[in-house]
Amino acid sequence: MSAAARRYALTVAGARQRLTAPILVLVLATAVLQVSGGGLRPTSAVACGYLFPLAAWLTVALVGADPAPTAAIVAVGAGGTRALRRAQCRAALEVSAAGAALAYAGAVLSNLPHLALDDAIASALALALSVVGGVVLGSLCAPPVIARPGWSLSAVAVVSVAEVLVPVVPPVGPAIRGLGPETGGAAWWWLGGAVVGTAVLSAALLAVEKVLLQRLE
Amino acid sequence: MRLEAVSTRRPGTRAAVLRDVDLALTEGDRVTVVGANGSGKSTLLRTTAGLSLPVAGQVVDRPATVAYLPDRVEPPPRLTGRSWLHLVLATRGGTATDRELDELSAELGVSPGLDDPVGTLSRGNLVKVGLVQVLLSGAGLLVLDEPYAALDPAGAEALDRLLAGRASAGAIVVEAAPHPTAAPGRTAYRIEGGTLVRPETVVPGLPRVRVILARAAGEALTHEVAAHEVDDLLRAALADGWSVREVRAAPEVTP
Repeated sequence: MSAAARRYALTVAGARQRLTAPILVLVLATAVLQVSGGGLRPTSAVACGYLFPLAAWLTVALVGADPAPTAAIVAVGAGGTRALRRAQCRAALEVSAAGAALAYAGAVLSNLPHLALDDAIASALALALSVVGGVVLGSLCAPPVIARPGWSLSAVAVVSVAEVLVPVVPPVGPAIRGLGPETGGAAWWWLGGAVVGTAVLSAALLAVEKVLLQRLE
Repeated sequence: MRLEAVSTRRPGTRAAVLRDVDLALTEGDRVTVVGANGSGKSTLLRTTAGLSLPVAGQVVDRPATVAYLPDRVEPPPRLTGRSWLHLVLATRGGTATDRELDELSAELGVSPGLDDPVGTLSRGNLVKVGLVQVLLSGAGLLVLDEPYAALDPAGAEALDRLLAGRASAGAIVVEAAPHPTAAPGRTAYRIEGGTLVRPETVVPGLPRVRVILARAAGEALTHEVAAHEVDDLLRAALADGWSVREVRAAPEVTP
């Protein structure tokens, strides 16, 4: 039934044209990235910068696609509002992961045959962290926690800018540093920090979201 | 299923809505919850359906499958009613054939039909599309928030008949209504001051009155109430902008 709930979420968000803008931006950004070329690490670092807010945007769009009364019709059948929200976030994760895979595949193909294995692993890890972190942020910024779309997207934008500018804010900050000019042990320390930081921050944000949802339902 | 000392508050606030509500429901029960706007009918229904968690008390032995009709049904305007219904029914692991959808929508009087974008449907027809998913769900608990509010008389009669059929098949049916709408076989509860009061079982043989109300937008409502409740109903309806089309004795119920 989770698959049916994800299909419902994607169809409804598509029919309401909530996915058009973020997917268009995702495709355009990926296309520009591929045309501009560059090594796998710098290309992936740029992709992390735009995948994080886009994953959050997609999550806000999917979770908030239906008005609350109509979403309730689906929620009772899908196992409750939490189960529906999980299905919507998973749908956002799948779409964002597809975008990340597209960016990654393009970067890998353009760097063949001179591709180092540790570059490939580090890039894949950084992209995955950005997508997961973006979905967690999007879930926290989606209705009913932040009810109005304008405030939701403003919150996503502010956090995304902070992610790029502040190196210690996971997942994007440390991931970009891990893919930067520093290589070897220092790069892996940054990426390791990104993994741990993303896990801890995601758990904390999801706990906050759970408390807020209990108050708002 | 039972609601045991359930208390709720308005979402996002500390304001209490329901206090220590107890309600026992068994298979085949058909319950109408009446009360003024903002009295907590929708909150009680959402809690019964499992959409809202009580701040105190608990809901136990809720049937495994639940179907819900909110007071507003707003599917994506570009989807057809049929597409939306297939998607919704799939989320609860069920399916329905196109023929089943067509038969039920025809019985409820969905006009023009399920193959038009829902954005072109009137409010009453949107409610009917919402009712189709409830009635085809096969759920053990049907929760409906003011389902008669936008229906024409023919649609209201069809819904009454269909819900009676679901109840006689063992489903628990819980409805909300702004005015007393008790009909034979239904138990009515009124919410006053956050508590459920005045349970009233409709006893076959007691005098009952059928009231048909209409509004400028083409909406019509049919209520069947106990004779002593007619004045209350008419006062509330007139204050709410309805005009009275007909008041007559309801057909007698055979015990």
